[in-house]
Amino acid sequence: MSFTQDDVKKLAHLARLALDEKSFDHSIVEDISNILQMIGQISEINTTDVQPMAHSQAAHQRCRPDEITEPNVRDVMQSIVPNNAVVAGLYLVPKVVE
Amino acid sequence: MHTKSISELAAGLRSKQFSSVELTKFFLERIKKFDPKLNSLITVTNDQALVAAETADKILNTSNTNLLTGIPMLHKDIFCTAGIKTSCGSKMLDNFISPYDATVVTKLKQAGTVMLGKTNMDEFAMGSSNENSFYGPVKNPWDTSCVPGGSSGGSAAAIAARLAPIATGTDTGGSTRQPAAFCGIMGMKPTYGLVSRFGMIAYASSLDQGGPMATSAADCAILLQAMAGFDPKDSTSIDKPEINYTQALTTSIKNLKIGLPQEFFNASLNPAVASVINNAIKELEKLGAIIKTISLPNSHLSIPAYYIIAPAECSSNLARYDGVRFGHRCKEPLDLEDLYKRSRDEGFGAEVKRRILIGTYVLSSGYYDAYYIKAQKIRNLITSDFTKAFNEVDVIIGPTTPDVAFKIGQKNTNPLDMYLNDIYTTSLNLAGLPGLSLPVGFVNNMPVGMQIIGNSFQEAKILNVAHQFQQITNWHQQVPTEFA
Repeated sequence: MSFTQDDVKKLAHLARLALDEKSFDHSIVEDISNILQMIGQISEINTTDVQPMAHSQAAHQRCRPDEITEPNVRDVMQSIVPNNAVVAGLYLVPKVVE
Repeated sequence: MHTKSISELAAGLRSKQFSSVELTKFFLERIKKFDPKLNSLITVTNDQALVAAETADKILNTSNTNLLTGIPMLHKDIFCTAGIKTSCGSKMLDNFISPYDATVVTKLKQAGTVMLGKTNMDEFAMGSSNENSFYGPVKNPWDTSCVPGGSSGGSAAAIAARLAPIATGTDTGGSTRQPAAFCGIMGMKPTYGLVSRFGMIAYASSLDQGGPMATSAADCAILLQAMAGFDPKDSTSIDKPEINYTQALTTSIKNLKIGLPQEFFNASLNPAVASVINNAIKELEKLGAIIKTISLPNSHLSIPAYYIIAPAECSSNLARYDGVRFGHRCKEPLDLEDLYKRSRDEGFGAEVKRRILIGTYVLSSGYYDAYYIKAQKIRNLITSDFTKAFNEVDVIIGPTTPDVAFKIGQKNTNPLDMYLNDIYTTSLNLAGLPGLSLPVGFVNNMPVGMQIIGNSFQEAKILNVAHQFQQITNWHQQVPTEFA
């Protein structure tokens, strides 16, 4: 499969990556194309009646008792916010509603 | 001092030949002297180490001690350490001071170890050469123009140069075993679920597993003992009775059945490496092991399956780095989308972006079944191969890597070339099995690693095989001349 610059742009948007213009050189398009070709090998393998494997130990999701075990750590967690973008326990982001 | 085993150091601490503070200062001095040549550490925690060593010395005067009390060690910078920078090798987390400890870090603190610092690594554990670190490449102590392997390359290089006796590593597709092989030390990936992933920064959650890195099987056993165990904070942690790994080391391997997968001794393997591995297998035969050729017919599918599953899980896990709550935030965002996109673009390096894009593609609408579900089915085929093999043999042995360490810059122009380095290691992660790499010789003065693979929760058995080998050989005691 051959991948184009537009395909990469679309993926970058889905992944919320800016990828500035200089990233869109020959190599990123070619690299992704080559990787997709390599992983595409698996399409030739017959997997009829094979179940997908979710966990190597066939383990089940555990449920814990409904008990309070953690203290409130909001202030600790917010102490590491980048650019001090916290006010009154709320994270600051650019305006999203008019 | 720097060539002593954990047991020897523990005996020295108990008999007051030296204190933990003296031992800690000794290794901090080695780090200061030698690390500028290697770049194996991102952060050196001088002050915290000396405080921890003083505490350890007090504990050493009581009866409440174990073999690790007062022993200096290093943590891969993927493990969260409270109050200390935890960068994961990324610009994204260059400003991240973890608010809490990973369970592995807590357990090793409780055991009384003294953390000397945090080791360099490929960004978010994505890489096989350590060239993907925001903090620059790590150098291989055996030849500083060569890579140390990755992603736990900092831990491997530091242990090989004896900057610390033990270190933690993590392994998603070979990241403890491959750098261990390249640096001539031991690295282990335990069974998925044995070591807690809580506080270990996620790359591919169904494959990631923390493991010990050390110079000998005996030291690996001691470190694994402290790292392993059920953790209610990790939903994939397995609750099993504790095994004493050190006690299991003395078992004879007479009549142990060892399987050699024919697919691992193929054209990809450098013949000189194959010859070193074959010599090591002869040593095991001398100890009474029975060698048998086996087949893992789907092993060639492990690279494509891995490079679907790992990027898919990575694109999902790394969605959390949005520039809002922690990590890198871009300057003056125009709107929310700009905040996300530029923070992520500025914070992540090229390989991480490449894997996020691949992962986004294979999970996108219309491709999910063809790639992700198909790869999960292939994973079952690979696991079935191992299940059949373990009906016939006790352990499986082969090379860890197709060749010895390559030159810095040699393979970073083509990602596919780099991915093929993981050809013998990724299948274990896909199947969740334990494996280790131990040094078994040299090719062109560079170390060769041999991989021992066990069935689920058979860590004791593979450590035992490695230990028995190390009783009659001394490859694990070789130290690179420059760091002797």
